[in-house]
Amino acid sequence: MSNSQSGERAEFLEGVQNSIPFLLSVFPYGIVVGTLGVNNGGSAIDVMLQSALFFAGASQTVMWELFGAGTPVWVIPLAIFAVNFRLVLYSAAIGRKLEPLSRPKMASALFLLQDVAMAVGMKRADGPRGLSYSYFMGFNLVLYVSWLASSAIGTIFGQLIEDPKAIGLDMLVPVYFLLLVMGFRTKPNMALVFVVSAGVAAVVYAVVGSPYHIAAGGLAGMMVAALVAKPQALNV
Amino acid sequence: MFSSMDTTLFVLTIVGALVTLANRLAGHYIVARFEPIPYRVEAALEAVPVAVMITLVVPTAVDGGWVEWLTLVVAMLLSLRLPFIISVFSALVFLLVLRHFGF
Repeated sequence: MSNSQSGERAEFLEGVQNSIPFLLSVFPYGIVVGTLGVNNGGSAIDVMLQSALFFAGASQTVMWELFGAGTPVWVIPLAIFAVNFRLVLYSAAIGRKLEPLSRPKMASALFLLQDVAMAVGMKRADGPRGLSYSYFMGFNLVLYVSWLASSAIGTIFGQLIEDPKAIGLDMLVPVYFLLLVMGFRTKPNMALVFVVSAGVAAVVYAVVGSPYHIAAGGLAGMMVAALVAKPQALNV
Repeated sequence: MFSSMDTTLFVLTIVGALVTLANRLAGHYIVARFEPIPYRVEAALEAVPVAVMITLVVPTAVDGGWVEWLTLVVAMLLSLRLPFIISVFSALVFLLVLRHFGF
């Protein structure tokens, strides 16, 4: 085995290893989405196809809730776009952090992009070894397989989770996301970005509603980061 | 009727998947056209993890009561000292204890 092959293998395995702490958030979420699907008019096959092609829990939830409520079908893709608009920002941020890749490899990496992958990937990219394709795929393939497995479990044993609140499921994903955000606290200006994004998102959420708080808060935080940026700060 | 419903769902799933994939590809290929990008745009992209992810926590804070607030604060404080996964677990245990005692 050549050096670069064994290097890729090590990166892949490190990605796999680093994904383990996130199984606790992916698994219950997948079960919830799987259950939601079969309770809103989907078959197990419909749910599995959706999980395999979307791999994006929030938009899957929205699709089933709207479909189950009898919303006009043409509206639903618009709602999916609105909920997944943040993926455009994630993609813009992380695409250039990945090592240079061929189009098929870049597409396969971006196909697996979601919240946790973005946060962990951006953090990795700031480190000494950068963000390799092997690491990113190792990390995300574990989450992808877990997503499929937990969705399947949800379609079969969904009623197992009787009261999500009693076991803290409603707070599981928010706590994960908050602490992923905290991981960036040593980066310059991030406290300011945190306050502006959260503040704008809270106002828009209260006044306009979901999911517009995501784009509004996200873009506001990005704008303030751009405004206070200094050219020499880039090499930090 | 059931077969027509299945077709609707199938088409909806494919369209939704294409929308999602387009979102995932768009950001990168738009930015790639403008490389090398101005430093302000770069700073904005560096801010994405904090700027976007924190908005996903906001509904919990806005809709939640003091138990949820306190859990988020405790999680943040723990994360200043403890490893990621330990902080997550401890904050959730804290939440469950509060809820167990009826708060």
